[in-house]
Amino acid sequence: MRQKKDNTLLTEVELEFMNAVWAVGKGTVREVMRNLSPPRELAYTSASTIMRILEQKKFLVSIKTEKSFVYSPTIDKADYQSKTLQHLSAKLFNNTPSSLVARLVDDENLSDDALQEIRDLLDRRLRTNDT
Amino acid sequence: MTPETVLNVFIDVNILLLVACLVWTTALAIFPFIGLKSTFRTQLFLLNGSIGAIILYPVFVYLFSGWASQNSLNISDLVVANYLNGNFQMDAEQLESALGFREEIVREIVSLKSFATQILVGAFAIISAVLFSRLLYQGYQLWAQLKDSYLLKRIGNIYILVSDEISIPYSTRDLTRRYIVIPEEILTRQLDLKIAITHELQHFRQKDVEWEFFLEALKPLFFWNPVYYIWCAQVRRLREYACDQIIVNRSPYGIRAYCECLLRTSRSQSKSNRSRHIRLPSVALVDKCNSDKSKRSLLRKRILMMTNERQNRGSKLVSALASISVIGIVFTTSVLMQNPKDWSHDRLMLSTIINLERMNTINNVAR
Repeated sequence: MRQKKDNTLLTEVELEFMNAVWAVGKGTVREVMRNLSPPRELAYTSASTIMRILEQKKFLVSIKTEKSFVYSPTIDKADYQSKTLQHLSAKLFNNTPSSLVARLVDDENLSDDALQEIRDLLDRRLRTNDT
Repeated sequence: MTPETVLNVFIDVNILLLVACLVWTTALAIFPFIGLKSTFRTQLFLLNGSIGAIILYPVFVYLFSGWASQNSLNISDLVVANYLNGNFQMDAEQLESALGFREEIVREIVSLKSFATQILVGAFAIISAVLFSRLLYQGYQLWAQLKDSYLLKRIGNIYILVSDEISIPYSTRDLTRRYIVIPEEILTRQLDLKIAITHELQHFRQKDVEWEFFLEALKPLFFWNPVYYIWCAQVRRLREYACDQIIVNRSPYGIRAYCECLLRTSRSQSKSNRSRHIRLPSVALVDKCNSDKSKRSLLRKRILMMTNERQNRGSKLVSALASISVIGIVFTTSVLMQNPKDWSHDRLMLSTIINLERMNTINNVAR
């Protein structure tokens, strides 16, 4: 049978838009367009369609104001990051997050700074668990 | 309508497909000499026209078979007349069995007496059923994909939809509406978006979506006929050439921008793991086949065609004459193929020769 559509994860384009929405907190289509990174020359209708898709996927909610719709996120960036990692861990690392971390640490591209950042994160998490 | 009639029509259509393919191949070889080499729209019209002639052949046969029969205008009578005139040598009995070969085959299949025929007909029925189910499943997949897409714009009864499940724009239709479905990521590339929509709109103008549906619908019946696949490949190639040619000539984007758009789309399909590689009954911007090699080869040919030096338009009169010739040959063959209603004088003569030869053999044995 046809695979059920997975609407819990964002596509590359949607992620770009969500990053812009997370950056501005909430805003109209034009405000979000201005905050896209990298900046893009987009037609308003195209951007508006992507925002509507995000709304239908329940990543955004909109409120109608006098002139236009104001969109705000329904999920925090950190929550989405966790969800994506959980998905990655489940799909690619057989539900063993340690394998995911091991893979990250084994990666030769990790700089000393990045490793230090992970170490700090680990320390913080361990401290939180202890308390 | 008897099973014999249905089977005879089926055999006729298959033979006509072969004839149309031979005529088409000959026409392709002649086109460069009559200025129709790069007239892809005309060529597509001709190809589709010859197939249309095959569909309409029962009407033509109904209108002209009586007249043809009266004048002994059918292949078997022409062959017998040539035989009696001594234009070729052959044993009379062999000739008659060759002339009755088709009838014998039809009788054998309809009666289902031999085990081999039962196996053959059974295998055909099973494969047809599987292909028909696949067609229904593809229709369902298409419907589901359209349902999961988001409306970008509406132009009359053309709905431009955005899907996050695909990587190649395509056009399709249902009974009343026409759809252009574009991948979500193309929204961020304005020029590619415009080119893709223009390209798919041109497919609508050429009625390519309707022809694609027709091609797919025929598969459960003609899957065993290699000519069917040759014809499909020709139609799919020509409709892209015709579409590319018109867009490049008319649109302000230029060949480079258009070709780069095709290349980007093709690359994004190769990269994408989200898109479903199932052939839906639709017409895509670049070929949606699974094989990278054949996809590249068609794309390469399209780019070569677009960048060819001068592309002439071809004379309308020559195009019309070529169309009439090709379609006329298909129609004429369809009438000539029909069995005569009564035995002609020549056929009676052949039968008499066979009987005399038999009597001669019996007399020789008796002596």
